[in-house]
Amino acid sequence: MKEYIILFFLILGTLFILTAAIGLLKMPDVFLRMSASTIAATFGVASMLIAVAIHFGTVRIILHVAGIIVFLILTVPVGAHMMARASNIIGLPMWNKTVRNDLEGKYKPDCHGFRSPSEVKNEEKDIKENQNNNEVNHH
Amino acid sequence: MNCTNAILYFILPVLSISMLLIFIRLFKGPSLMDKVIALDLLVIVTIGSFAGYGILHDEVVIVDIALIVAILAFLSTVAFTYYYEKGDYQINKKNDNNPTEQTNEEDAENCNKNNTEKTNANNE
Repeated sequence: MKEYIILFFLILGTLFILTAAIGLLKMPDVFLRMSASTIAATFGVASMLIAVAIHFGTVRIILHVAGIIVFLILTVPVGAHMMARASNIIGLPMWNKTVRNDLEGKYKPDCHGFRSPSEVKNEEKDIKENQNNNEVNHH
Repeated sequence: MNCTNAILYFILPVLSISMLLIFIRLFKGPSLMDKVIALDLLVIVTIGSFAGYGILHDEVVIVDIALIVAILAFLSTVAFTYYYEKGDYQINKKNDNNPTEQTNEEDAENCNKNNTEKTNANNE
């Protein structure tokens, strides 16, 4: 019975990792590749490590496995966020069938920072005030 | 004995096939960020194969190695992306149209100017 549970978790994790690899190879875009690889691989490695914990069954191994899983769940999204931010700042092209890009035109390429919505509002206000002042000066 | 056969004939071959697919992306990747993603996923698949070997040979030590490899994978990803973002890889259309290129110091000065102007405007 224990063997079958271990086999179930191992095969599940292996199929998740295979899915991640195929997604990394076949997806058309940097961002899509990143999402496919990150999500699938995290769950795959987590279930394979759960199989290791069931196989050994001691407290030390279970704590180590829990530590690795928590560490992966904490760090893999952070790394993926950093990679997506860097590739968006550098300006890597998106897929040509992308429907919506909320960050388009909202980042400053000269100082590696994104504008928040309040800053955008302030800039729009400044532009309007400048236009009004120019009109008054012309009259 | 069922378990060892399954690991030997299904799990480790499938993991190595997925490693091959990742290596294809690593050599083919059009941008450098694709290669960074492929390396990150390669390390994660390595942790999975550690788990398979640990069950196959009854090795307890391999779990500790998996922990260290996970930490190293995160550090390498952060270092790659940090220097890739700060580096001179910009694919902006501005630079393609204008032959005059700004250096990083000028960019930083412009950025500071914009920020100080904004803070002054807000204070007034």
